[in-house]
Amino acid sequence: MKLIKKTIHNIPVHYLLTNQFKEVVISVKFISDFDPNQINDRVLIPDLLCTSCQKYSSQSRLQKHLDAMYGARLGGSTFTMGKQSVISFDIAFVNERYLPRNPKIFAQAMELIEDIILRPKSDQKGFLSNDFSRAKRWLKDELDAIYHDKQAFAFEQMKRVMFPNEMYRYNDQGNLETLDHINRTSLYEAYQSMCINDMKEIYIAGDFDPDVADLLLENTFHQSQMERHFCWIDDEEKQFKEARIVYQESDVAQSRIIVGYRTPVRVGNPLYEAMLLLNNLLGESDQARLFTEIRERKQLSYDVSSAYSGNKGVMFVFAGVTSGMEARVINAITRIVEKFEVECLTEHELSLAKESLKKRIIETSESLPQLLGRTFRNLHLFNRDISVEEMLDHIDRTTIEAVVHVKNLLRRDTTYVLRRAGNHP
Amino acid sequence: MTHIDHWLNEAILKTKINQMMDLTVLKKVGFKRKTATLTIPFGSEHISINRGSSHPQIFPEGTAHFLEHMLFEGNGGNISKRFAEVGANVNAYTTHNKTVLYFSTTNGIIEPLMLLFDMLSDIAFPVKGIRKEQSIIEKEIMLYHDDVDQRLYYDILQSLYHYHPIKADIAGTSQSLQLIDKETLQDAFSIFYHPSQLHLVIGGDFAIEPVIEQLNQHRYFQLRAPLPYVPLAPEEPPSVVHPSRIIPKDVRNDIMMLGIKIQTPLVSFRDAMLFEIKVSILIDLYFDLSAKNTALLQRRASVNNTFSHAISIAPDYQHILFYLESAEPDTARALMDEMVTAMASERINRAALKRIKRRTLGDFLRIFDSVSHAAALISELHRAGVKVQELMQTVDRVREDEIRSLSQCIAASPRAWVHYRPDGSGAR
Repeated sequence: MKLIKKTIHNIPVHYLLTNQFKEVVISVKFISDFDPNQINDRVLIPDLLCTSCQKYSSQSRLQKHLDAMYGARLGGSTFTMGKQSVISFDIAFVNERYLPRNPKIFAQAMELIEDIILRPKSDQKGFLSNDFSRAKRWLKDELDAIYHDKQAFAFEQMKRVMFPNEMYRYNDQGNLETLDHINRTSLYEAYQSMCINDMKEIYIAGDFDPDVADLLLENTFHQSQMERHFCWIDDEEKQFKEARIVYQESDVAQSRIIVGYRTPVRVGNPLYEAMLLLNNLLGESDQARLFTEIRERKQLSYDVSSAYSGNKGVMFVFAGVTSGMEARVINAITRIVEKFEVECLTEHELSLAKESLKKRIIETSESLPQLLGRTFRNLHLFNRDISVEEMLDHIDRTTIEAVVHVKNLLRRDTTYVLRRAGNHP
Repeated sequence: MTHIDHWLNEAILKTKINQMMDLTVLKKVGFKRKTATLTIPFGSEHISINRGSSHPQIFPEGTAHFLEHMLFEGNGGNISKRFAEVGANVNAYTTHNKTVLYFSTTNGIIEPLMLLFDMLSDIAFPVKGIRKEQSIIEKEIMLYHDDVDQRLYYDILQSLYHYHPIKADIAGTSQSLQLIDKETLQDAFSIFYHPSQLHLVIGGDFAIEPVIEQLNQHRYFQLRAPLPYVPLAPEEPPSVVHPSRIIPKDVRNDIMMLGIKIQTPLVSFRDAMLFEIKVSILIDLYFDLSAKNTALLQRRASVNNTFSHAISIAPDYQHILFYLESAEPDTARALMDEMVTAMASERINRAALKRIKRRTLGDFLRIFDSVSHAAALISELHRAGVKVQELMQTVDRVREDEIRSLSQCIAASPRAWVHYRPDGSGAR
């Protein structure tokens, strides 16, 4: 992959040139500071924009146009990274050179994404009333449906308990409590503010001619200002003296357990790779300690795993367990995590974890969306694109002592249990 | 034996290992990821087979899935670790009609491939291992009890089918798990895992000859006679079991599923695959994002953007499922029923047909950007005996009159509704 960086009309533009794929992806990103009051706005804007525009005035018309472009896919999403909120508009389409009679799909895609972002349907009061109410209702349904997925529901509840005053408590995919405060005018104002105030970036990945892309971009997006300071790491902390356990009740067949740990090790920390390896050794594979002990040896759970967020500095252990077995599983989890010492980790075990992480990194080069995501992350977190070799090297150089050291830096914060109502000991 | 599709720029080679196992190789130049996908024709619906005696052989529900778990119990249960040692991740899953064992690696492919067949050669069924997996699978079943989509899926299958084993949970039940013993597992293994039953797809950038040579020498492919069998499917009446069920549930939105049970004489997987392509185009014509029906359902019946469908066409069962969430569930149901009935008499939109064919072509090309997705498609095509180009030609040649007669058939097919209505316990 060859990365070309340039600036067109003040917008940082990145071309990721690779001839490995039959698809091309264009991604336009809008970056602002995360603000809990804007969560719903930032979910609704891409939802609304990606269902119609002035030129393709209904979802049906838009879909017909995408079909005619050999099934191009258009999507809008929003995500949080550190303390920044990113709205991403993406269009993926088959490279025209593989299609009969070489249709001009690249130019059409560029034109469409511009129409979608810059020319939505609106009237003097804002977005059109029907479009707005529909998008809002769909978001409400989507947020309600989290309740139907007990793991996701438990996690949302748990975050409120563990992070009562931190921005990490929010679900960046919407907030039911404030959804009714939004109207079509306020949302349109938020959209206008996004267009003017957000920092824009453009990424194009695939096998295409950069000169053609330059020409197309010359006539599309503009921005007045550039350089701004962003914080891609969430460094908020909470003072607490001791770990605690919280129970909530719901109609579940299986209890859901989440154990939350804090770590000062975040992305960019020299110990970051050690922390990735610790998480892998604990609960990211079928050789991981939690899996082999809790599922394979004790058969206490079918699904037990761990996850680490280096942008926040947290690690979670998740498990689904039979009602009544909660205390046993929590004890097992905390014992496995907290008794992870130098003498119980072999070079061989560590090398397996390294191989598994390295494989995942290598594979990010073989999917366009993942390659794009990786480049975006690296450019912002480290101000440069980091080669796969360099990433692999960092992993290779991590020692057992470093892994045990990051384990010792973990602090158990909140253990959350979602269980059936009834008599509990 | 190699076939290179110049239009796609993809090289696909087919051969046999020791005159028994079918092997397809997908060459992906420049990709570091390599995958192997082994398909075993043993799924949850294969609970009764004829082996030539007067009585059919019966397997308890969940046997295929149980056997899949047992594959990892051989060699002291450290199979995954051995794969990890050569830089590969191995995993498996079971569906209604097959078991799939697969791995991926960014290192060499030969070592994990040999391990894959060591795994089959060394399979063992110790009583302790069987008990352990029983206990783990029971928890797996419990996990899915909390999954609304899974519950709805099995509820609609139970509404659609009287006897067909597709209505049973792939993992079985805690009762059926107790009936699975060493003998059951050994029997099932020797029948369904015989090399002549298997199909292997390997994909990535590697030298093919040494791989074939090593496979030919593997002990799993020592010549031995297959154990012939004929899968038995019970006679399934055309009618549905419950045309409509409203079930109070701990949910926050009204969630519904419409099942259409199609009855059509298909004899082979090939027929099934070609038929499925036509059904898929037809359903897209009437119910995709550009269809006027979809817009109407959204506007008049508050159906939300989770509206979607799934088509399942096999030689012995065929159905279409629609998933709907709506704030006006009764209106949504009535409207949807009307729309399906109206398919029999509506004109086919020629422009829409052309557009959908075009989209299908693009979707198909894209699959080849992922070694894993391409391998999965190739496995399906192999079982059906359909070539890659033939699949595309079938899409291209679908005629209006075929779609018209198919829509009449589907409009007249028996339907079932399952409706999960919020019972109030999950109120916010």
